[in-house]
Amino acid sequence: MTAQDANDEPPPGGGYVSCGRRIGRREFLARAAAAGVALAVTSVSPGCGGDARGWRMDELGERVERLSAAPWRALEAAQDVMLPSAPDSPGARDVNAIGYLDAAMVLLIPADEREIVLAGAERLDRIARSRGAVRYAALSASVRADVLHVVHDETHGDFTSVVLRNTLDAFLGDPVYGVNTDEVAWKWLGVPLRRPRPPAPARRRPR
Amino acid sequence: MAATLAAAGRSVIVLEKGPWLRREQFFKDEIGRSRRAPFTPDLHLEPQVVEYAGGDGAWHAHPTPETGWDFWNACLVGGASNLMSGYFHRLKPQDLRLLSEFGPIDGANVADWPIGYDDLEPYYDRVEREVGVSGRAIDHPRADRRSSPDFPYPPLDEHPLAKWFDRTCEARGLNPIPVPRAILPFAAGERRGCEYTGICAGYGCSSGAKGSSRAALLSRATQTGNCEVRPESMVAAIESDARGRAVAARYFDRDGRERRVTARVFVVACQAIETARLLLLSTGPAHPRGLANGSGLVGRNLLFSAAGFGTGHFPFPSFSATEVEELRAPQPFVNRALQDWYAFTPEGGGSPLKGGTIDFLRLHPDPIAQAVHLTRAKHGPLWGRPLKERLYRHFREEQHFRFEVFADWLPHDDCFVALDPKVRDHWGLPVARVRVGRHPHNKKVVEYLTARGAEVLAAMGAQRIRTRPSAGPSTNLLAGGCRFGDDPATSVLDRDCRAHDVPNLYVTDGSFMPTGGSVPYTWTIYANSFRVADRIAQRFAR
Repeated sequence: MTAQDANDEPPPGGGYVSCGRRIGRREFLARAAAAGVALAVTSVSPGCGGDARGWRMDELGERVERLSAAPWRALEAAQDVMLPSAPDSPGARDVNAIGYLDAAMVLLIPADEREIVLAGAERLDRIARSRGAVRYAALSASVRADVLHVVHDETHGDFTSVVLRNTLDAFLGDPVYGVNTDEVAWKWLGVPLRRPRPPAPARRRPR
Repeated sequence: MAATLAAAGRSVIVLEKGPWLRREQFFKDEIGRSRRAPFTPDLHLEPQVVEYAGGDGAWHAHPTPETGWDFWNACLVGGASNLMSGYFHRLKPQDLRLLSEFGPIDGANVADWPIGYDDLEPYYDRVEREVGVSGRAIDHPRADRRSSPDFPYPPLDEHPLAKWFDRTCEARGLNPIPVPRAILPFAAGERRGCEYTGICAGYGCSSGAKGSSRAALLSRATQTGNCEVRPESMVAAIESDARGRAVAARYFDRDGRERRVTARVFVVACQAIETARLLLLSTGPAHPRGLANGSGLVGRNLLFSAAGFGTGHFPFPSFSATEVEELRAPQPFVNRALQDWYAFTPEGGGSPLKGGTIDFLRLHPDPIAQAVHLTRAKHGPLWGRPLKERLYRHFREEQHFRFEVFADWLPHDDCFVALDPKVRDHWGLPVARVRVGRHPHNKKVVEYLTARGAEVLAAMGAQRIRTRPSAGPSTNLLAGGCRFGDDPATSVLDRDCRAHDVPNLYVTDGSFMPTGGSVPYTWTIYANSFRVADRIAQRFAR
């Protein structure tokens, strides 16, 4: 059976080559419009788009060791909902996904998406407090999932899209960046080691 | 071009806006490639403006920093050939005679090429040897006429899906074609053989097996001592004199200093959009509308490739142990195509239409891109345990096979490059404004071919087949904008790709193509460059 589903087609990679630039929400909207697809758009994020520049790849590995307090607790808990750890399989906590998100917020993620992430994290905590918890991270797993869906709907998917994308970067990226610890996700999924690997960061902060 | 002229003893200078990377600098780093876009400019420093048709019928223009949607491909020595997959197909004679063979199409500026397949064939053959093309020539109804009996390099190792594909196609009366690849199966000269990571598209080749112009040609050109490559040199304009001859290229070096270089002959190859932009920027006393633009056609009739995609899933529980063992095989390449519908009669009858090529291949092995794709579900994003189950099933319990359709993107009045009247880049130069209107005929052809591709996947036993005939422009396959022809009133370049009104200016990227044909462009661009290089060497004697 053949289905027509524009969202169910993997990215090109044969004759049709992507330069690798991130595909943001606005790009999707523009492409959809160019393709004549009618979309019910209720909001488009303000601020600049495009790709992040002016950083070095070795900085990424260096930065993926720094954690700070709120809003990272909420974000770490949200990542745990998105990609939970299990006895037989790794999850976000096993690959330092929060460390990567922290670094990406500084080095990779455009300003408009940073605002979305920070506002979403704050919203998670606020909803948690309205439900009697100290913070989002203190909720039970099932309630955390419910609240995440609420914020997903409120942000038209923008918040969860950015966080999930960066969580998957950490899950399946090269461990040289301080993620995918011991290649745990690659081993779980049978992804072969990719060579040549990017160089290790020149300088690492002491743990 | 540089390799031929340098070997012929001419003094060649190559000005390239991007860096000159060595193959040791090409890592299989998905985070680095996908998040940093390391081979294309910062859109805030070097924007383009893209015009597309909205649902209201009006044209909407957006600078690329607003959308992230741009047409930069690769700014480095060797350009986009560094990042290609190297699926190499020759154009066929009817590709060059679209108007004569298939007639006019309302609203499309279809034109025959001023040269024929026989003019290009010796140079396709030369590319096989000089760039390095691996493959296996077989007899089939759409086989190319060849001057050499077979390819100079044998085919790459193939995944068992190639045999499945062949069996299925032959049972259906179709003609499976081994796809030539611009990839060396073993070491040759300074280049190592393929290392079979399959991480080709979008990545530079760390072994040198891929036939980029950097690895295959420019390295050789510089070794003659007659060719100097100046990386990080952004050409701002080609200056011309009162007689209309090109006299100097004015460029900014890596330190931002403005420099000039003079030459007897100038060759432009910046990929279609930036080539048109450079010519339009290069006004002079005899060229008030831009260099080579006496016809007003520079930038017009821009071409992309009409595309379609499809993917089928092969869940292991549906197959025997022997079949599963074959499906699990590690070889990244299948290298098969169908050209049975290069011309076809549409359902319901009518005159034959020009069709195209369907390439069949495995998924690109980038795991993050695949995982991000897997988060998409019909009723919202997938996460949590369902996402992990889907990831495990995708990577561990099924194989995938996909196809890509290549068909003509018809040239027409609403697909062109101009200079934006307001937006400038960080050098202060007006940027390219690209209108990406499409002709409705493209979609009709692509839908037909996509349906045929899906039928083949289904006959192979694939399940959950997803197809997507694309109406949008391909961002990497660009051509046109300086079409060649014999009439200076209707073309920019003559049949030797020399500007009609600038006797020492040539264009040798895909810009010369009046129609793009139904295959990826790279092999043809290479072949035509060798052809034009021979003409230049003959015309401009030492």
